[in-house]
Amino acid sequence: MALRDYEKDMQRCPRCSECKWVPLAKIKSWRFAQVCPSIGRYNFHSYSGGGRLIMGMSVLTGRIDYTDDYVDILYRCQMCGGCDISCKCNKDMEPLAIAQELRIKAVEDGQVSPVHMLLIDGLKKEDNMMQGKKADRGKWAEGLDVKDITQDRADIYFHAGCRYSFDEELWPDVRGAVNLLRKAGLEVGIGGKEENCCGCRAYEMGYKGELTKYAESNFDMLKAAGAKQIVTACAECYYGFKVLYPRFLKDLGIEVLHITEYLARLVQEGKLAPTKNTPLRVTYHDPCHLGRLGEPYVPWDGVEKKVFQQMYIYEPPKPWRKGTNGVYEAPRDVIRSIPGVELVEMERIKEYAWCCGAGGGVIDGYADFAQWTAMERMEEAKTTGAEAIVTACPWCKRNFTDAIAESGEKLKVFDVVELIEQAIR
Amino acid sequence: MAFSRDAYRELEDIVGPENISADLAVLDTYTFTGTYGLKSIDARYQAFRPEAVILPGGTKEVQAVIKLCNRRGIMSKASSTFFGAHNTAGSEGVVLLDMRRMNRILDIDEKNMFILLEPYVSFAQVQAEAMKRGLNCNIIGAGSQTSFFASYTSMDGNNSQAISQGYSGRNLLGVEWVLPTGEVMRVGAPGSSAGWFSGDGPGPSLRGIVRGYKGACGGLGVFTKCAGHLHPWPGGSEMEIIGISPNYEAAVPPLFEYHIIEFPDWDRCADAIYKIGEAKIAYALHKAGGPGSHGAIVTGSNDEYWAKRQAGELVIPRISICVVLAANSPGEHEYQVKVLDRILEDTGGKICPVGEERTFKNRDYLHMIKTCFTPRVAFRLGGSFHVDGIVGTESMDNIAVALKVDDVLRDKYAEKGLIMDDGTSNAWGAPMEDTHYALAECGHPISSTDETSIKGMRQMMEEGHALAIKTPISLSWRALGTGSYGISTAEIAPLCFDYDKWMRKIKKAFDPNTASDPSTYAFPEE
Amino acid sequence: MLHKDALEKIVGAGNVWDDAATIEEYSSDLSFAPRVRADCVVKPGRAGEVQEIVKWANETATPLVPVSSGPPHFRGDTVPSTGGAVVVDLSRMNEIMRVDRRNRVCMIEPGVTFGQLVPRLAEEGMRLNMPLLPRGSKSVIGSMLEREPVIMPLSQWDVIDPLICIEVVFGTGDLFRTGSAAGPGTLEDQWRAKQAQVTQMGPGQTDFARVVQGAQGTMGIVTWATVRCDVAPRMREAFLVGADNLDKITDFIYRLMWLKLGDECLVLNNVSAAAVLAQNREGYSGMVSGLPRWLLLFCLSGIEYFPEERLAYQEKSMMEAAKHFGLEPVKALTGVSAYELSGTLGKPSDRQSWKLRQRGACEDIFFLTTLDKTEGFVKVMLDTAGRSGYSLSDIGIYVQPMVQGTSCHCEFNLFYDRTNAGEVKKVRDLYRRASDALIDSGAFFSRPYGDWAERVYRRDGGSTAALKKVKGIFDPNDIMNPGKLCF
Repeated sequence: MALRDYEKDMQRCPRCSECKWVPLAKIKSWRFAQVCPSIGRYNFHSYSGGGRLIMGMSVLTGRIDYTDDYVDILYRCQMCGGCDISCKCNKDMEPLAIAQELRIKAVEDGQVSPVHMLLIDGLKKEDNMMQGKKADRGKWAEGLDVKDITQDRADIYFHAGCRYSFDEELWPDVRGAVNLLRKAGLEVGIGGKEENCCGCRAYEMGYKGELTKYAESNFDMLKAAGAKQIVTACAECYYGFKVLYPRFLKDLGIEVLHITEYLARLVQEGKLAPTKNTPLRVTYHDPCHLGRLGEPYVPWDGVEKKVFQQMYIYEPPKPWRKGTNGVYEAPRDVIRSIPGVELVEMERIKEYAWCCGAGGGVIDGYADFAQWTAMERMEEAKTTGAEAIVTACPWCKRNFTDAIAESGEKLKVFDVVELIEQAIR
Repeated sequence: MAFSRDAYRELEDIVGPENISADLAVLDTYTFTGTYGLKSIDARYQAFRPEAVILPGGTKEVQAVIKLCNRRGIMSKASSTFFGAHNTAGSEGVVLLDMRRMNRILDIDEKNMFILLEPYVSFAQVQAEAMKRGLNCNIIGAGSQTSFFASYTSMDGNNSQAISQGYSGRNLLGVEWVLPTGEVMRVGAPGSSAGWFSGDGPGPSLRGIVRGYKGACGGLGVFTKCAGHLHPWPGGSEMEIIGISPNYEAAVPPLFEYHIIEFPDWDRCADAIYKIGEAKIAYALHKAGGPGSHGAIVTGSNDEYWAKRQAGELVIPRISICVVLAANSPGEHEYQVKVLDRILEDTGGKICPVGEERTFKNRDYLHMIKTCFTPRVAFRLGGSFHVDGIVGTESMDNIAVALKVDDVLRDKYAEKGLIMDDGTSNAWGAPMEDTHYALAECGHPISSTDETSIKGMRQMMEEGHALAIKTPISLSWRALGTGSYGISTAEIAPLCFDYDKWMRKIKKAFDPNTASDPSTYAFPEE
Repeated sequence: MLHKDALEKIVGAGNVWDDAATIEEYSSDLSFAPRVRADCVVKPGRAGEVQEIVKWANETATPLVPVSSGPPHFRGDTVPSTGGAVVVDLSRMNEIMRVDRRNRVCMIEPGVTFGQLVPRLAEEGMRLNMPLLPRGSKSVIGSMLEREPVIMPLSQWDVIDPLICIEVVFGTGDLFRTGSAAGPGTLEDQWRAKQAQVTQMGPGQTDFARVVQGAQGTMGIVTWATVRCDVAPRMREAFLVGADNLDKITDFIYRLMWLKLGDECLVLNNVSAAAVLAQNREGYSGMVSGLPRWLLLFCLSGIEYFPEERLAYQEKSMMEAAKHFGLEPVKALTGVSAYELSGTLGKPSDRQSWKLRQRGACEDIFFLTTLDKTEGFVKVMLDTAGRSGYSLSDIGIYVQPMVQGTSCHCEFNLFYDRTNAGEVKKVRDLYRRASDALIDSGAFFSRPYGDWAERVYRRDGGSTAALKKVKGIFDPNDIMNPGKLCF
């Protein structure tokens, strides 16, 4: 769909400001009532989901042309979907899709963030979003002795993703993920240096072409490998395979799972047994792309029509993605299975979790904003009395780790994988 | 006077460069409006862009901005969430003050049951903090995401809990006010450094100048602090919400009741509402349909609502109310239930099975107390809703008259296909203060993307307005300045002792330089 | 002479007085306001006459002093502050225009007294939220315009209650109606559509009634008002709680307010309680020493439906709350029956005011605060009295929770013998010192009568400046009771 396809949504915006808050039923305090980091930090209405929608309409209808602030406002957004879920709780609208189309249009019109451009150049040259060398992509797996999916068949394709591939500090987590699967007796293959970016991050920056390019290429590779399951430990890659690929390409015909989903299954089946007592009070941070954005994409091709004279519905009924079916419980089940670990919840969780701050190109282009967002989350985590914040995405972990280092906070950061790995003898 | 670069620079020096913008992309987001200003689809953008939008951080900054406006002949208007056309600039040369940075709760006085806060604190935030302390606030019809402060000082506010908590403007206590000339004063007890518990005195009450039925909507300076009366909450310190969006629910607590009740006619419905008010048993009560219907409230999408209605579910009777009882003890609960049953017996009321189904009950109860249904129902159904001109706040009997008049008008326009017609009467109504008075606001969902529907609503509004005057219904509270909200003061005031004459004098006396945008209040007397 | 002629043309011969005796009656009251004689007293019979009087006063620059209650007066607001004034006595306008049980409202003229209205409402099964023992000749509208505290705090949703809509002649001579009474439509049109003038706010974006209330007649003259009424209970139980410590009682009151229990609810110290209860001076002293230091009176009621059951659950909840605070509500205390006392409070006083019975005169110091701060103000008062050599056993105290418990009226009653020059001096002295001390301690003198006005408005320059603007709008020629407040 193009921006013009959302014109009615833009006209329908009641300017109610729900997009700034956690779904209203879920507000538990004054302090942690907001859901949108962008307006939380910058305050002008244009920074909210509804604000971008109006801005977009202004450009679409020719009221305004691109302005300096327009581009800045557009990209100072993690594309976290918080506004989307809050708006959709009470309305049938698509704020996130509109924000996405605005970025795509901006890129088409040459209104780009210079930092994003740099990353995309790197992507085009080296097939990754980390400004790393393609040849180095597989280094994280050295010594693991795991199948190369381009050479051998494997039922499970494990996709590391760009962040895990090039962020050496995080390698223990991604290695741990593979090790856990193999410990459960599963046959895993990886792409190694032949692994390519999923394209999701580039898409969120507005580069739709990169997504479709990598989607096709990855699809071909997976088909050739005969993989039955894709497993990833990166929430953004999960979103790419689970939601974006079926949307823009076709259904892969392969089951897509996040590592936490798989681990939850394995624990339940008794194939993995965390037995070592790990006394720790933790709180879990729902990554946006695993949680509210991670619910499956169901293709729909329909029309809007009116019933009751002036009420609009969709025919056939639209399979709304309102955050209801994201991956929320699997990571929690894994955490709860670890002896000694006490899980306490923050106020903003699941479909209305506060973003870590890294998404949408923000960690790259607006580091201070990414850090501000992360520190907000740290404040919230501290109120639970937790010693550690646990997440299931390397982007979240990176951003939290950097924020803690910068601020001197004592909170620890774990990935679900590393937590359970510690508890398995 | 045109807005100059010098003026911009001065404003920037007051609030900091991060807190002022004259970028068109930003300005347009303060020009676009939602439901009101019913002219055409294109008129979602109001006529005037502001010159700049400013985010002041405290009273001193507000003062400095207002003084500058006086000196330089610039108009200003402050708003919290900017929900509604009346928040936009009313003419050229207006700077808007977005009060978002002034968002603190300063104190909650549990014993004396009031809260002291700044402009950008939402009803949802107030309620969450109040409930922890056994208190509550009446979430207004505009939605719990709107500003408590704005409702109490500057606009209006009523909803389902008004029967036990009253009207927002009548719950206002002390106020800190940056006058249109830039001086700061405190209205009521805080002016005497005596606390914030009262907004009246010494002597005549300046609360009467601050606001009437409606507030000044930014037309008489800027309010920077206010205290508001909170009310007892017999429920738990936090409402336990279960489910995942959009299907949130809250179980009706022990010692509480929730019911939808049908009546054979509006007169008997009014009888029951009077009796319930007199018996002082209701915690929340409003007319069950409107805008939209409770059937729509309990569904997560229009598709779902339609499907369920096709299956014969979620049908709300046309003449019905929704009531919540809340008791502090088993004895009180038993009494409330017994009294309600007897009142229904006396007035022919029947509890509707649709409201007794557990999921319906738990979802709708949540809306009655916590979230209010305006965003979901007013905006989701057709994209917009509007009030048809039949609005009144007076005796319950007069409201019943209004509802009967509206029934006929509603059917006429429904037959033409111009408004949504799901069989319910979408008029909104709530009794206030143990039914000492009541309100009806006859709103109807329309399509915000269909010019015919919009034009039809406009026609309906004009016709309804004429009927309201003829009946008569007490509708002066709906008039706002030049009419961006629907009815202008100039249309109503001549029928009400020319009250605008006094407002113009007040404007001239308090705002000699017209530094506050007069379009939503009054232009100064010439 | 000139005034009388002109005024007689408006109100008719026989309704204007300028004889010495009549003038003398209006030239002073029981406050310390200096004696100032008016030129004459006029008694209009309808709103049109009031309007003409006000217009005439503007043309002739004649100050007007509105009065609606019969004597005695206590506050000085009905005594002219300047010479050459005309007293506008509204007692002829004494019609009870409507009593509407269904909407629990009545519509009355300013001359309607508590003595008139209370029994009339009782005929319809209603009652009024009254101040504490008003004299029978007190004007109901007068009381409400003064924002006198009322004894049923849970029935008071806003400080303006029970006043609803008013018809007023502003100082400009313009006739105006407030709230839903303003229109559209005439009153008859509105009644035909079943309106009852029950919406207080507005019209529009100004709350005009609120500007007239508390103004001591400086903004205009009210010619009728609608007044909110309550349903008379079918059954009633009254309780007394005695305590040495006010804080315990106030905590209990907070709980009653939160539980929404009770109708009448007020606190008197032993001195004021004895003044209210004692039949004569001899009984008074014995009562003062026999009563507990603080006495809380409150009533529970059963109304239309299942009154016994309502009473039962309320009493149970109330007793549980009392127990929590270590209090014991009883139906009688040291010979005082709570039921009888509450019955007394439900009617205007049919005797001489309780404030005058014991010593002949009383000077009140009152202000608004919150219940939890009241004990502190009591200490300030007693400390000041002690330093002034004033007998503490002569200080009555009345605490009235207001607006559903969000604030309270705190009143000190200084009983004294007006014929004793020494006592008069002492009381005047204490009145000044204590008022200053209380204002300095944060007491909110929201009703600044007499000398208080200068102190209060000096402290609140913002309100002073704003009120002067308001005065300039509604009474630009300053003919309405000049010299009061900050005008």
